[in-house]
Amino acid sequence: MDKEIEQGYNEILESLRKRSLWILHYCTGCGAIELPPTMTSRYDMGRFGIVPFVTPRQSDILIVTGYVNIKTLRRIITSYEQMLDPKYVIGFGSCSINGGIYWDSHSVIKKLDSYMPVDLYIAGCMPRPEAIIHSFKHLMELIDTGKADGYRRYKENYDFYRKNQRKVLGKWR
Amino acid sequence: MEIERLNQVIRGTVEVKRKQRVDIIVDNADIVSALHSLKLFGFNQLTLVTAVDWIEEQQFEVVYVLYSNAQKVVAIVKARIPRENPEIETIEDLYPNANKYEVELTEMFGIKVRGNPDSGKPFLLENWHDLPPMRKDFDSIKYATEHYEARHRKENND
Amino acid sequence: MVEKILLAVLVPLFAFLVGIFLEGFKRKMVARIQRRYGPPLIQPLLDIIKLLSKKDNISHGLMFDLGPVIALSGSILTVFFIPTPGFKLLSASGDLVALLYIMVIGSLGMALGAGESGNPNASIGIARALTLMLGYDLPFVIALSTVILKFDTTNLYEIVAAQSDLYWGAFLMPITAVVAFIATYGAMGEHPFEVVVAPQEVATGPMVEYGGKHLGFLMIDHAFHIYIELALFTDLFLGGASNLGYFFLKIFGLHILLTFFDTVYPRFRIENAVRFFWRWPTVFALIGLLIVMIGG
Repeated sequence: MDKEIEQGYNEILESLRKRSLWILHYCTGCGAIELPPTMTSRYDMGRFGIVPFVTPRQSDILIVTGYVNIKTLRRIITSYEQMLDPKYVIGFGSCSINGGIYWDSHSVIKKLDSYMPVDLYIAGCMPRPEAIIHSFKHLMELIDTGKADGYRRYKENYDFYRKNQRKVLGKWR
Repeated sequence: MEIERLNQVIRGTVEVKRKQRVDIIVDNADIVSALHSLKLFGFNQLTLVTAVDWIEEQQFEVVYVLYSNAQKVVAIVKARIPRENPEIETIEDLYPNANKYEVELTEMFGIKVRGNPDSGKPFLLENWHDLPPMRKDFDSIKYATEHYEARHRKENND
Repeated sequence: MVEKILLAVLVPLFAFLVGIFLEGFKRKMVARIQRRYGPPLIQPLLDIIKLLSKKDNISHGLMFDLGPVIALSGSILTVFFIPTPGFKLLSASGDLVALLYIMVIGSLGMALGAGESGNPNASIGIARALTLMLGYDLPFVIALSTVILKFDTTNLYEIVAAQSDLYWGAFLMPITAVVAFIATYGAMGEHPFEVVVAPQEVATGPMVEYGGKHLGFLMIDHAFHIYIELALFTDLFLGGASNLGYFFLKIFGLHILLTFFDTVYPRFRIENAVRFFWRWPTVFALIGLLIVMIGG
């Protein structure tokens, strides 16, 4: 009985929580240029309760916009670990999926989900604002069904992620 | 115009390419003195310091791009240096913003800069143990496939 | 006794609901002015629920945890002092003076908490908040002195009672009312005085290290803050109200006016904001004081 009450409580909470998602306004690559039209009058993601915030402590979603090189990866991981649970990661554009046009570069990683748990990828170079808003809607569905569990995966498989991070970043921390 | 007088002060070849661009080719030893005279001529802005890898001739070409706000002229100073143990003199005291460009030269091409205290410190590349990546003999694809995990790709479109 | 306890719950609840509604309405209104659709009206409530339901919490020390609590309790205490039609909770003969002191508690709690976090942005934000307070408090205190002089009392309930039948403070001393409006506006920290929480410069200033439940508390405090500033202005210059409906309508109208200014203005630098407050509002506050002293 207690379990059912707790489950019901969690369900209500999740359905409320998904309506207020704050993204960390940290731009790693060129994909960030698609965010301003998504925020402002033309596409207005504010109507879903999605607002950009400036510090990792206050944010729920980390959008990795575009290519991630080694120097950026270090900062992204730090920012991600500073965010408070529950937190979600959206890989944005083909660069974060398989390296994109930087597949042969000496400083750009090719597969983001070996280094941090990614809940959702948006394909395209660049994804249009419609695609971004669609991805937010999809993320809300994932939260509703409990499938957006990247932060839990990160804790469970911490050694795996840490091993991969050490491989490209060397020994740090 | 004063640009024609550059020949008299600079040891090297001065070529007026067009109205607003001068190419100056100097020896390795004369870089600092040439830049010094150019600064006296009013070239007050250092736009870029970079290098070109001429691997077939076993040479690096160091390129300095200067701009004169008063005369609206771009001056490009080029110097060839040997590819083995490349070393140049710093121009940090002439143009303070050259510091970071020179750090980049050391990092990306392995050209040592004498007199720059930051030369050799990691700047853009972190945790780097390979050849400097902008050299022509550095194999970028090999490095990328060795170091960064690639996503498994399907062979057909099923 | 039971009545008092019930009131002690109901009055802050009313203040919170009004504050949260005004916040949501403001977001919707700003969105419409910018030709957006805007978030739903209950968006601030959803934000607070989300923040309070965060699973992690980061603490930087005892004072860091206590900061939002002090800020919130200071705000609730202030709400008890402000005359709300129908309720009378705390009242003393000099409560306008007491109110001036109590209203600072919130900022001080925030300052102590944010100082503990050790983030340079937080320190800059706190320094800005206290500097801005120096700015807007000068004309505000002069305006309040004018009000005290005019009605010859420091009791807020008596001031409200003296303004019945449209003898509003705003009609009796228009210059002072405008000055007090500008000072209230500065205290609310909206554009162009949004120097404290400037996200583009100091990354939300004092709140930079606050997240999760701490930030939830601070947002509740913000809702109270909106109510306090507007209700105080309403009581002092718009004659209070005979029932809650009128009171709410007056606050609502005032807030709409504030939002118009907030939407169209950019941001002052901190020294310009203080210079602005110490120049024209102060001069006009003194003129208003002089008029009341001469004309009675």
